[in-house]
Amino acid sequence: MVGIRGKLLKVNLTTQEITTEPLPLEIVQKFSGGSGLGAYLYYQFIKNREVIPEAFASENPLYFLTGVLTGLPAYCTSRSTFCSRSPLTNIWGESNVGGKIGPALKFAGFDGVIITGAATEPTILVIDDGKARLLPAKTYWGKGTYEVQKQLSKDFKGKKIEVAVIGPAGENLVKYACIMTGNGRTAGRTGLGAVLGSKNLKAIVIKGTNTTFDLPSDFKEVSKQGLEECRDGFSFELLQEFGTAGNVDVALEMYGDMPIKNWSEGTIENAGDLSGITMAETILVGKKACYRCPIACGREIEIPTGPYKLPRIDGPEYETCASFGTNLGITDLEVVAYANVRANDLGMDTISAGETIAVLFDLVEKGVIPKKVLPANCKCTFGDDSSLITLLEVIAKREGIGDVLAEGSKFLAEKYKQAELAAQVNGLEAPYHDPRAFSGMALMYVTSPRGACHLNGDAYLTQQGQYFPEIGVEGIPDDRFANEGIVKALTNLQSYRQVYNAIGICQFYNPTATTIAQLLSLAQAQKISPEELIILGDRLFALKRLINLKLGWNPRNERLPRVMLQKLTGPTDGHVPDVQYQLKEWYSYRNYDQETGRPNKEKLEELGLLEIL
Amino acid sequence: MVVNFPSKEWLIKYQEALNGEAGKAWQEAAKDWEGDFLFVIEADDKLEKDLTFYIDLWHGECRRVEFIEDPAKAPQTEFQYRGKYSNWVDLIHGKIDPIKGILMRKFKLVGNKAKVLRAAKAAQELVNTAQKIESVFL
Repeated sequence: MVGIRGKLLKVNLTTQEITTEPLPLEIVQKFSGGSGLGAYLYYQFIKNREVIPEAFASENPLYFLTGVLTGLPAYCTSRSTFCSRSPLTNIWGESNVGGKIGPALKFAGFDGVIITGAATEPTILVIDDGKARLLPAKTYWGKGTYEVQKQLSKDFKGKKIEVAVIGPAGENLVKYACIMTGNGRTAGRTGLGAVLGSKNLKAIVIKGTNTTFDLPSDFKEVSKQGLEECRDGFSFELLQEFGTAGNVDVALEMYGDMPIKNWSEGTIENAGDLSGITMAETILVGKKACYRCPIACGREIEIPTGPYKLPRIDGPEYETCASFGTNLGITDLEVVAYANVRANDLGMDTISAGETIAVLFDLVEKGVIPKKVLPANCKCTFGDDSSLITLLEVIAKREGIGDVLAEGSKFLAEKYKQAELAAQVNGLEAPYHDPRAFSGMALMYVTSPRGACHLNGDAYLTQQGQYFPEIGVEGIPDDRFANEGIVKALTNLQSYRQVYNAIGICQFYNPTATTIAQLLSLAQAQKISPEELIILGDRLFALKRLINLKLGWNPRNERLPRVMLQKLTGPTDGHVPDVQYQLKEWYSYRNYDQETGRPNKEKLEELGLLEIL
Repeated sequence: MVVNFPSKEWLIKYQEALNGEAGKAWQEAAKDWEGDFLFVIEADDKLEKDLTFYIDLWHGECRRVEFIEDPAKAPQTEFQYRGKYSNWVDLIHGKIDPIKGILMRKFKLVGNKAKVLRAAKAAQELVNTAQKIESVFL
């Protein structure tokens, strides 16, 4: 009785060969699914290689993997993960997505897909209830993600399909191209859409109808109990009512958590106009939920008239309100909503795109970039709405300056010898939670296995009091700027979120860790305590660290650029995190060597990793 | 003058503080605010029975306050912010902020949440002003 299918689909696009291979339960019990399983598979792939393929090399594998809980009859079990070597960072890349695509894969009979090789012509992978085939995709190539999804629905008439698709940005190998799925849900980070593009794989179409799993009878009861534990929580309610952007007012006015003008200012006028509350009062026309989600944080908007006219379509989330809004000095919600739709259609990560454009604006305002390289009629200064829209188009097509911007903010800033202006770690643009507002985000960003990331540790919520006492995520100082006394709790949080990213559950759904452990125990036929969740998370974290070391990462990368460490007025009141202090404590608690960045031998032994090295 | 929290005297001092020099930052942050509150201080091991503060806030002015000992006599208000006595003490000491208090389930907010979220800064300034009152706790 388990929640996995025990089968992986293998697709070699070079040979066009499609096979399956068993997924042993013992592997899942040790490494879980999703990004955990991805790390295990990728480590096996690279461990004996002298030369590891670059992200766009045809040999570089891309994994699309469900979690153990993905698609099971529990709440918020929508998540699945794309993993590969990232073209943006050149280290481990993973990108988690909600919607319905992960559950559909499991309903089609597979726990994951391993994609290798590269097709000579644009191709689509069709997975249809236990079978798979490749189809030519010339008619879809060059088109936006929304149009392709519509066209595929028409072409697969009568079949209920789920689609993962890349846009022109992925085709043109924009380093932060994303993978769009239905319901406006995106595997946004680390540029894995470009890896699909390098393989000439335009889309994965899935039809899965077998929703039954052989699970113990109390599985549903435990799931219900989980919902009871968190449904009356404020953040649950806030997300339901106003989506992730419901956080905008508090983030800006109270905490200074939302970066402004390339992380360089502490306050901005009228930013409340970008909030989920404004959205609800103006352009919101509906809400969208991922698979089995009682929250429905997804927004549907419509802008009936004006220059940013939009039909009923996906609305922007918090991160995009920051990336295309405050961080660019823009406070017009319609502009941000329109830019969000364009980025989705072109198929690029709004977080990375926004920061890259913010660096450009900053360079232009500082007089570093000559105006002649900018697109016609684009001022490219903070607050310039129309430049934003034009730049998204030229980035996706790699036209003119767009070709430089398509490489990411680090590349752009380094090209103009202003490396410290790019808010990134390891080349991945930081999400928009400011470490000057919540000190622990500094540690989360610098140590995250994929570069700056908020899904590998939402310290900003822990420092607002979201605790998990059974796993030691509690008892941190009341002072949100503190560096002392936060590391143990946040390291446990980091490991816990590794587990979340591996098992297929949404981070907005937070019952007790005991309930998560119970669900996982029932789904993978293995008694797991809350403490063992942390051991599992530690194992996955260490494995990704070993991968990154093999890919050339080194601990000198564990730093925040100066642009994120400037003292600001406003709600952060001049505070900056002490990254070195946090790191020193973190290395000691993790039992890793700070010089080399490597987990110590006894740690690897304790985690059962020595046997796979 | 030092006053006991919670008491009628404390509430009067609070109104004076909000409307005076100590409340300047709040007055600015709340200049567009319209709405009255019940601050309900719930009994715990230090406080014997629930006590309620009625506070009417209007465009950066605290227009009226009332100390209510019998919860049944509390008027209908647009908002209620309630939590145990010990949590109120933590709030006034700045150990938690008004939004964190709700997130941590130490306080419950009844009323239009959007309106309060919009006024997050004003809410924080309400607390900052309370900190300026010389208070004695139970």
